[in-house]
Amino acid sequence: MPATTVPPGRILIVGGSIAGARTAQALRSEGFTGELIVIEPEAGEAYDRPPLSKEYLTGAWSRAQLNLIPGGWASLDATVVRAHAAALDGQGRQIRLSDGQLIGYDALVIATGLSPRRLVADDGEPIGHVIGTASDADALRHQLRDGAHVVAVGGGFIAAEAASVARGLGLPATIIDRRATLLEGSLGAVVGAHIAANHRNHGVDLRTQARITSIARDGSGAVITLEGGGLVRADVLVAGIGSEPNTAWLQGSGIRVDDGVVTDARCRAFGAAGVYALGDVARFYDVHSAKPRRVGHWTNAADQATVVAHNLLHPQDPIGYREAPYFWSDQFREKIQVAGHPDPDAHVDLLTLEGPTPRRIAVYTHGDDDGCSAVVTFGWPRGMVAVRRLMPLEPTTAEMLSELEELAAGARLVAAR
Amino acid sequence: MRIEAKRHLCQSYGNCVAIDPEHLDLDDEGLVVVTRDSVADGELAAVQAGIRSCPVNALVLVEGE
Repeated sequence: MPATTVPPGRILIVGGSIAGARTAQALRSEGFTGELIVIEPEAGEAYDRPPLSKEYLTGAWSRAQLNLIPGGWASLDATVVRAHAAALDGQGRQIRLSDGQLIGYDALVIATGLSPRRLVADDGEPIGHVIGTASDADALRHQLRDGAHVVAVGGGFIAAEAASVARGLGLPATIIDRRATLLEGSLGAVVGAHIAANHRNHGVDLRTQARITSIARDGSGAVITLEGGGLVRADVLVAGIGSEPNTAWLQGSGIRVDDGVVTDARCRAFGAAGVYALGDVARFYDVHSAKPRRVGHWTNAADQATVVAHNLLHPQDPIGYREAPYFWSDQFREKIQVAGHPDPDAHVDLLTLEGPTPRRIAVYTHGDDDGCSAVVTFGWPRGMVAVRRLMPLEPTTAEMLSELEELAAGARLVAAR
Repeated sequence: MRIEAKRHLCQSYGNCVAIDPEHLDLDDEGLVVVTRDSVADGELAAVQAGIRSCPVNALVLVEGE
């Protein structure tokens, strides 16, 4: 019988964060009784990463509150091997670990995620903090005290959240951003300007359109020189300058890698049989845009896990992945939630909906047909639920607004118990 | 089986409602509410997917009617 028509006996998952953990859970939940091995270099239980730059960084949440798997790996009857994957032999269906150990598989799930880029000082060595792992967040959190001036480099969510946490702890904070507004790359100029104004209102010293020409070490801190001669002295330096997919170990394996592991719409990798990839590391074929896309968001990883588990266990009846794009951020005690694709070229309306509580939203309209391509809600989770319910129906902006106006005006909800 | 929500853990992500609107919703404060708590046999996989979608494990499946 061809190997592709029967469920695998041993499934090897490389990476034990959200993508790997949810795949393992979905496999067991769907009745997989075979052997489950997880390769994860970090000690301890699987933990959730979005809070690392939010509640965990402030100290409000403990490590235990980040646990992704109730009952832990043991409850899934998974063997966790604490090592890095060093190489893949796709033909021989085995991987080599950093300690030289070889582990065979029937099916392989690549869920190795991203590594944050680091800033480099003038001496050529890395400098400052990143927020990738819980250890990274621990190291940073211990520095957030005694009036330390926190300087975040980058205009994305990590920099914005780090500055928000610093201000929340009463520390002076500066953001150095190459672009004209915060979050311009992901949310566009209109919403970016709104968020930037919010940061300034909360006392963040926001240096936009700023280019760094030098980072000199200064004790445990740094002196940053900006183009034009401006100087910023940082006690604590945080890099939020993007991340790279963890694919170095796949070099020479035959697996197709192109800024991430390339997969089809069923999350299958190319170049070897029985290999899937998902989450931050995967560049999947997106049926919506008809293009390969790499998405670094929590829900993308969690939703793909359901697809990968299904396709592993039902090889004769595979399903495709259709992204329902959604992500969130927490800044200055407000939840910013985003659904859809906030295309920078879209027309953006920043609105306040009237009701018992006025609701601030941003609506993105794309193309000539009044199509609503994305919605951002500010501190209105229930509104976002309505947005996510409508979004797959490809509503017009008028349809989306009418639904949200009604909700903001005050419908009530009754619990079962 | 039925769904139980630990509302004190809820962080208003809304993932559970996106996956399982048959049983779950958010209230005006943005906290999860169980709108229908009983789980029929055929719904189990979808309900479990909704429960797994919560980053802070605020939903549990418990025995009984």
